[in-house]
Amino acid sequence: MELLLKVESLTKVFGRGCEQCLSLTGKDGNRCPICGSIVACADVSFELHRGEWLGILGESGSGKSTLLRLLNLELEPTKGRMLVNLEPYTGLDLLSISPYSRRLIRQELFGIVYQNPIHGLRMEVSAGGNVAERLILMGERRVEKIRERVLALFRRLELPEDRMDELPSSFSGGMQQRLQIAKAIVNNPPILLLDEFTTGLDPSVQAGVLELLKEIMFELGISAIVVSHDIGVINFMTHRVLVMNRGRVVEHGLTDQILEDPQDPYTQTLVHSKL
Amino acid sequence: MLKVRSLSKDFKLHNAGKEVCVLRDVSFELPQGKTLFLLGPNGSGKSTVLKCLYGTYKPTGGSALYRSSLWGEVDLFRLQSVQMHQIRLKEIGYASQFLQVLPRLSTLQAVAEPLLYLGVDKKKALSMAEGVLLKLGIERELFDQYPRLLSGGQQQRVNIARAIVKSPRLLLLDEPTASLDEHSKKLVIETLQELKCREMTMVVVSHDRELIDVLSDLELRMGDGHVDF
Repeated sequence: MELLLKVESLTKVFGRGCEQCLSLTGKDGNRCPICGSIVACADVSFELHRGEWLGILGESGSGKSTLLRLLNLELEPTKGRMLVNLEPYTGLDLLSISPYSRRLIRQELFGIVYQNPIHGLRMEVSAGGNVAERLILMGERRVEKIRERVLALFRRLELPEDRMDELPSSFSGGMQQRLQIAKAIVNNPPILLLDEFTTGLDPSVQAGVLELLKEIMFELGISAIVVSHDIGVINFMTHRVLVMNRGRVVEHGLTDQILEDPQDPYTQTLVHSKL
Repeated sequence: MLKVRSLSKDFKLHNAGKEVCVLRDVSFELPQGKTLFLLGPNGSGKSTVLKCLYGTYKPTGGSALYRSSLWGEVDLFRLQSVQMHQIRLKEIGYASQFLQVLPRLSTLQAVAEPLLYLGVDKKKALSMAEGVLLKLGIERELFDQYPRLLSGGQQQRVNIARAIVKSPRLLLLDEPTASLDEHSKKLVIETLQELKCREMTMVVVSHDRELIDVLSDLELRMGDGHVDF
């Protein structure tokens, strides 16, 4: 399987930090007893391959959303590397380039769907405009092309075409999530980042969004990093999983292996707590 | 094709503070195209052997040397999860006793799914899935139903269809005929016979004497987590 992204020792400490932050946290908590800083992510390393869906499982506060924000280059890491294996950026460490270049490359490489649509959509911009905006940011200026692409995505994601000019705030929760997905994939990024994207949706809407995403996964051959505390979502949507606790990856493996034969005490408690 | 040496499996239950030994020193060899049956009473560890081979369980000890088409001989128990994922997609089919698919995926889509993961065109994948389902006696009217709404016997055949649709080199089957009526059982046995003629290597857990008599080349009798000689 072709390697897309290699993440090495990604670490995020909130606060001033000290030399002992990493060594003194992790077992009992993630607040450093010396300087009071919070270690949200500590030495997280993994690889993502083409077409692969990687889950990040953990309870609230385990550091999984911070990890996703680091991957989406929204947060400045304390240390770590993110090496891309895609032309024309092969070998580039995304964390070593200027914030401006980072923003541009981020648009090209990643699409993100947030738990709360407020973070992923501009509520004062029309639904169609939200999707089109990303294409324009990528340099597309031909209005007809933009319109065609937005329309095609509205159809694909079962969004009502006649509501394209309405504000996203008038959409239902499920429609807002589908609109976020449309926005995330409009420029065919190779990697999709999904942050608790089904939380808050009722079960039938959730099932619809999951089905649609799975179809898109096959159609586009896209890879994804799926952050969730929902074991069902992780089970059906991912091939491999990293389990996080107190900012650390405590276990990783094939999804069914992690869910059926967890080795770490934390993972065992997490998995066996599922209703 | 497959050499398993001294396979052992303990489950360490942290909360309960105990370790449960399920398999001890299981060894066997299986040439290509042959079918091995794992026999023995409930709880003797037969399904655990299958799950260890498929990577769902992490073995505590031992090795499973498998001649893969991707990388030659590999030890299934020591592969990285990325490699195991790849080998599963391309070479290993596994039908457990229970069907697990997205709740609202149609029966036909559920069977086509393993082909889509391999990059097979959707139309072709659906047509191949259709062929396998019909062969196993799942009528066309059921194709657009959710698998969870099907009967136990139908679900079992859908599960087998998902495992064989990509024509794996190694097929792992857990009680493939356990809840089937006579007619359905006949169809499953015929299908497996055909696969055997096409040199598919199989490891099967079963108590079904008819299935064993027709397909078996080798038998391993297990008792209490180890091989009974």
